[in-house]
Amino acid sequence: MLSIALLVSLCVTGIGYAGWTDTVSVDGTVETTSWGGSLSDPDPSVPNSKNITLSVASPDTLKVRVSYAKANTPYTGTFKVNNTGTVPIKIKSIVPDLPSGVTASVSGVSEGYLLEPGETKSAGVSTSTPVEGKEYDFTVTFTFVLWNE
Amino acid sequence: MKRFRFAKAGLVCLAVVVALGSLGVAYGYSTGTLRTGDMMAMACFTGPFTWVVSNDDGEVTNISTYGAIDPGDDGGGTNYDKWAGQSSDDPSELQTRGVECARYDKDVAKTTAQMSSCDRKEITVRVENAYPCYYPTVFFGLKNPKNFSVKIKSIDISCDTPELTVTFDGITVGDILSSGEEVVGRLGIHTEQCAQQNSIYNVKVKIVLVQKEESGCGWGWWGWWGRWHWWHWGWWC
Repeated sequence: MLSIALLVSLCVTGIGYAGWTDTVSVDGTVETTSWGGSLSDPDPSVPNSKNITLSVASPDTLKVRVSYAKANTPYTGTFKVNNTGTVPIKIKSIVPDLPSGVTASVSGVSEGYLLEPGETKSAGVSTSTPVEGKEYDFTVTFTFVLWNE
Repeated sequence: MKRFRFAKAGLVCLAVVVALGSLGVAYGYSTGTLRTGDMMAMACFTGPFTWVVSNDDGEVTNISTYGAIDPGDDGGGTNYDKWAGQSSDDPSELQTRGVECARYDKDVAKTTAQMSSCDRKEITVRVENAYPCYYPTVFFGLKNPKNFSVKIKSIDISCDTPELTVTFDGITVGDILSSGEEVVGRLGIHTEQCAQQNSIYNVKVKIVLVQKEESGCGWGWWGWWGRWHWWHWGWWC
């Protein structure tokens, strides 16, 4: 009986020891930040302010209205381009949606322009319309992407 | 009467050996927490993790056995530097130990990795200011701290979000670590294009270690006795 008891106890001891197990872990937390760009502070240039109106239709779209301007005469306005996040961004595209005969160009920034977090860049838009005494509306849409895209 | 005394003695012996058996079980499952008087003291055993290195914490780390683990993690940013010396130009690919990896020219995000200081059973990785395509790598040493061989029983990687792609290698299920042997694990975390802004994602890797059955018989207690070479008779296994 003693032998059996000893055997049983040794088994228990052995199983207990042999049953050693351990668990370790690697825990990761990924906190993403914010990124993006916007347009702000639309402002018609003073000499032309009666004939051109600028507004920001959405964070990435500038809306321009030219009213009863002289034909084929440049009218300008200014606005600002902002990096609103904490990651550098670049301007992927600047796309004007123009009525027939209207021209427009953006100065100060261009496609591929890089903006660091918090940076604001002044830009301008210059436009001319084909027919005097008419009203024209158009938009200029910016696409912002991360600098590494 | 004589038979009665024998039974009584047998019972005492049985109790003693069962107690010893229980002690064995307790030893086998010991977690290393000690109570001294009214104070709780943690017994700082040398746990399985031996070191951990992030490749975007602004410092090239040397581990004596391996040399520089994360060359290129030299602090600062080339054309944008959010974290100064706390981080480096952001890695854009998984790093191989001891070999520089591709990095962007900007230091936007950073990754830190810490090991639980006492039991060394947990590594905590924190990725801050992450953005799509950021790709840090964490290396760590996993050592068998026991005086018997252990086996990697399972590796469970929990990352049920498409916004992250996790790479884990260097350690595989079934690996046998002899006493004191160390392997180097690697964890890469790639933030995908679909990651949302201002979000938190979690990754967990759970590794279960078990004692390797020395004799290969599948009987645990042979494993115990197998450690005593004078007892390890070949005919058993």
